[in-house]
Amino acid sequence: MPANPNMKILVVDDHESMRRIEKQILNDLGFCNVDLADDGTTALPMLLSGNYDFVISDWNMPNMEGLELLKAIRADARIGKTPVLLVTAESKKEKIIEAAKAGVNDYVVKPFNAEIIKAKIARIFS
Amino acid sequence: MNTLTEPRHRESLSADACGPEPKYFIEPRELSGIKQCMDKLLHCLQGEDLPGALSCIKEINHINDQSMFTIIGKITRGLHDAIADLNVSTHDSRNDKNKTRAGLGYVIAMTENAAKTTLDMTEHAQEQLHQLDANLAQQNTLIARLQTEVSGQTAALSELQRLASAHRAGLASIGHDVTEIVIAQNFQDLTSQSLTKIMRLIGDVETSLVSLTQYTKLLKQLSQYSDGTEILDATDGAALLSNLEKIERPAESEHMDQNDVDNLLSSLGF
Repeated sequence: MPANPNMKILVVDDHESMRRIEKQILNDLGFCNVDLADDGTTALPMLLSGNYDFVISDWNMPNMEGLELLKAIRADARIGKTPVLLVTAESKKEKIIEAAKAGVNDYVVKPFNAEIIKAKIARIFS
Repeated sequence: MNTLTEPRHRESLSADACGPEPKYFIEPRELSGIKQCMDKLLHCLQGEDLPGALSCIKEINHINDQSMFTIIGKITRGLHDAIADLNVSTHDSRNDKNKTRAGLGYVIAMTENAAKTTLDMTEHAQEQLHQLDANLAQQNTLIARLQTEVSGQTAALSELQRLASAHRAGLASIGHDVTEIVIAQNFQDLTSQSLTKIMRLIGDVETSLVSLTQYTKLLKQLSQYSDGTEILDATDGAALLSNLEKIERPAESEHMDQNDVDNLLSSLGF
């Protein structure tokens, strides 16, 4: 089943420019229902109250980093099944394994392009 | 023709041609002191003068400690000055030096601003592209209507249709380019992360070197009393305790202010 273009997506990144870039890419791919959060602590309450279908998160962020956010999502039955894509500069093998163990759905290493995001979304929602 | 085996005419080179005065890792004066002590040590050993030999070894150790303190101090001062020049401070400072235009923080701020400005412009361009796209769709509807309602203008209508198709292809191409410009802005995130890591690393090295300089200074002070030639009085004790507190302080507070580090290095003679 392909990804629903009307699905509600939350983009989490502490860099404003990265949030805007990812939103722009998603819009170009036909996903226009996109909200933005600047770190895990802002994202978590949004996720708990917002009925999001998909989360794209950075790893290195202040307050609550991406991995902690992922663990918090998986630990909460209300949002535990939300697909999470980590988009990060962290490319160390042990970090990727750590994210996989925590239940990440897929992993994109920066820098990326629109095709990679498109392919990952297609894979997650296939 | 010059060859590798040809002798070099060092004596003909002026100081200017050689560049600035060479910086010695160990001061020539200290090196010559060690050499003298070693000559003396050999002489003592040959003469089976054991107390004399031990005294020479002690003197060499003293010169060695002094050299180490000087080297660490020079490295610390050099790094600290470079930090001030490059503005690699990882913390807010009241010091105006951190506002230097050559600073790494300035590079991060400038690239961030440039990326945001580019994103503002591309988002605006995308909105205009969407509007143009909508206008073209309306135009196509009008052309289709004219084709059914107006007779005898087939050639003109075909030309209008061809132009509309060309515009649509042009808009798609511009849209693709704008998206590529947007994605290219992710360099800012990656470069700022790398610079921030470098800034943190340099800050940590500086803090460690400052602590090491203080520690070496303290050991040097203590060594004055170890041989019993000096007597530790209340003033000396207070000075030692004060230096010990200085060593402990950077570990307690995360970072020292640029002025604090300047003052500390100056107080240690660097």
